[in-house]
Amino acid sequence: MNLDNSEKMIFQEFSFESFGVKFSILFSSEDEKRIEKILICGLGGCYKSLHTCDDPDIFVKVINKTGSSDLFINDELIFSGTKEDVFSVLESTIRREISTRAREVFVHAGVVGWKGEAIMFPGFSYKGKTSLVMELVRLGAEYYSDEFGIINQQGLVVPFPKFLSVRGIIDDRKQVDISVAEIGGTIGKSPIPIGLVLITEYRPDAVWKPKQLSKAKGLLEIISHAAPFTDNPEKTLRVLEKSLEHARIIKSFRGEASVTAKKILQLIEAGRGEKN
Amino acid sequence: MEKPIARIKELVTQEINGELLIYDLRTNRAHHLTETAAFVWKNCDGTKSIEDIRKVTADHFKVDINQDFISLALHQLAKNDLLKNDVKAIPEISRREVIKRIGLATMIALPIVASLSVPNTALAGASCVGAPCSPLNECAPPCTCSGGTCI
Repeated sequence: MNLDNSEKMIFQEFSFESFGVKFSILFSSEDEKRIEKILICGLGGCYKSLHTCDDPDIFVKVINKTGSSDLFINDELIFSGTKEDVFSVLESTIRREISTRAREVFVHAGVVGWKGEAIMFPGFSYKGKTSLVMELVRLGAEYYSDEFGIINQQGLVVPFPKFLSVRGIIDDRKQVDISVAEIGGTIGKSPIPIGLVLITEYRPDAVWKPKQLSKAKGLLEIISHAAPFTDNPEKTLRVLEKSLEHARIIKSFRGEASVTAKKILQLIEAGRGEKN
Repeated sequence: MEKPIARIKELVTQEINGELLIYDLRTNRAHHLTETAAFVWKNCDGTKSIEDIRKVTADHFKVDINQDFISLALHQLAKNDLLKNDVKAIPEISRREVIKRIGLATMIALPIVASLSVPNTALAGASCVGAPCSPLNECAPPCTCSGGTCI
C-alpha cells in the first residue's frame, strides 16, 4: 500500500500567545526546528508558551505530503507548496494575525532606540527599512524592530526584536534572517516614547532634505502603514496621536543608508539641543 | 448657495493642535485639514452663510480674509466629499489666486485638504509573503502570486 506521508507523520501541538493573540499549531515532529525558528527569529522571542489552549484565536495545521506541504488556518487550506514556502507563509501569517488582532497598534516600520527615545520610520516592504535599521544599530542605536513599530495604549513603542530580514545576500528577493548580535548590536528592552518619525524612502539619486510636518499631516502619512487601521480607525488614531505627543515628524527622500543614518542621528541630537 | 453643511456621518475624526485628520469609512480615504480648513469645516453647520463663515474665521484667526479664502476651503472640502451640499454655485478659485488676492501678508495657513487612500489591512500589515492575491489583486514586490497566496 502506498501511504500518503501525512498518514505516517507523528504530530505534535504547540500553543502560544503573542501580544494577547492565542495560537495553536499542529505540525509534524520533523518540523519542530522550523517552528522554533519562527518563534525565535520571526517573533523575536515575543511569545509565551501555553500549557493548554482550548480556544485559540488561530488554529494552524501543517500537513506534509509527498513533495509538498499544506497550510491550514482555522481549518481552511490557505497555501500548498514546498515546505520552505509553507513555513515562510506561516511565519508571515502569524505576524499578520498578531498585528491585526493585538491590543497594541502595529505600524509597519523600522524602529531603533536612541538615548531613551524611539526613531521610527514607517514604510512598505522593499523600501529599505532593514538597511537603515542596520546602519543605525551599527552607530550605537538599540534595535527594536525592522518590521513593526508596536505602540501600546500608553503611546510607547515596545520592542519586537525579530531577526533582521536582509535581502541581497542570496538575491534581491530572498530574505536571510540575521540576529542583531551578528552585526554587533543590542536589543532595546523597555517601552520608550517616540522622539522622531521619519517618513522616508530610498531613491538612488535622492538628496536628503528634511522637512518638518505637523502632527496631523504626519499622522496622515503614518496611518497608511498602520496594520489595524481600516479595522479599528478610532482606536488607531487615538493611540497614534498619543504616541506622537513629543515626536518630531520629518519627511525626506534618502540616499544610501550609511549616509542617511548619520544625518538622522545629527537631526535627533540637534532636536535634543533645542529641547534643552 | 444654500448654507454649507459638513458631512459627519461615517467619518472618524482626530483633532491635533487645531488641525484635523478625518478618515472616511465610506471611501477608505484619509484627509488632513489644515487649521483653517478644519475651522471652516466645523463651521459648516447649516446655520451660517458663506459670509458668516468668513466673519467667524476672520475673528477666530484675527486676520482680514475675503470670501475667496472661504470659497477655496469649501471647494476643497466638497471635492473630498466632506460637505453635504453642492458648491458648484460658488466660483472655483485656485490656491495661487487666493494667495495673490489676500496677499502673502496674511500669515495663516491656507485652507488645504490633503488626502490619500488607506490600504487595506493585509497590505499595510506586514511583508508581502502570505498575503492573499488574485489576477486582480497582485502581490506587492518582491512577492509573486502562487495559488492565491503571495510568496
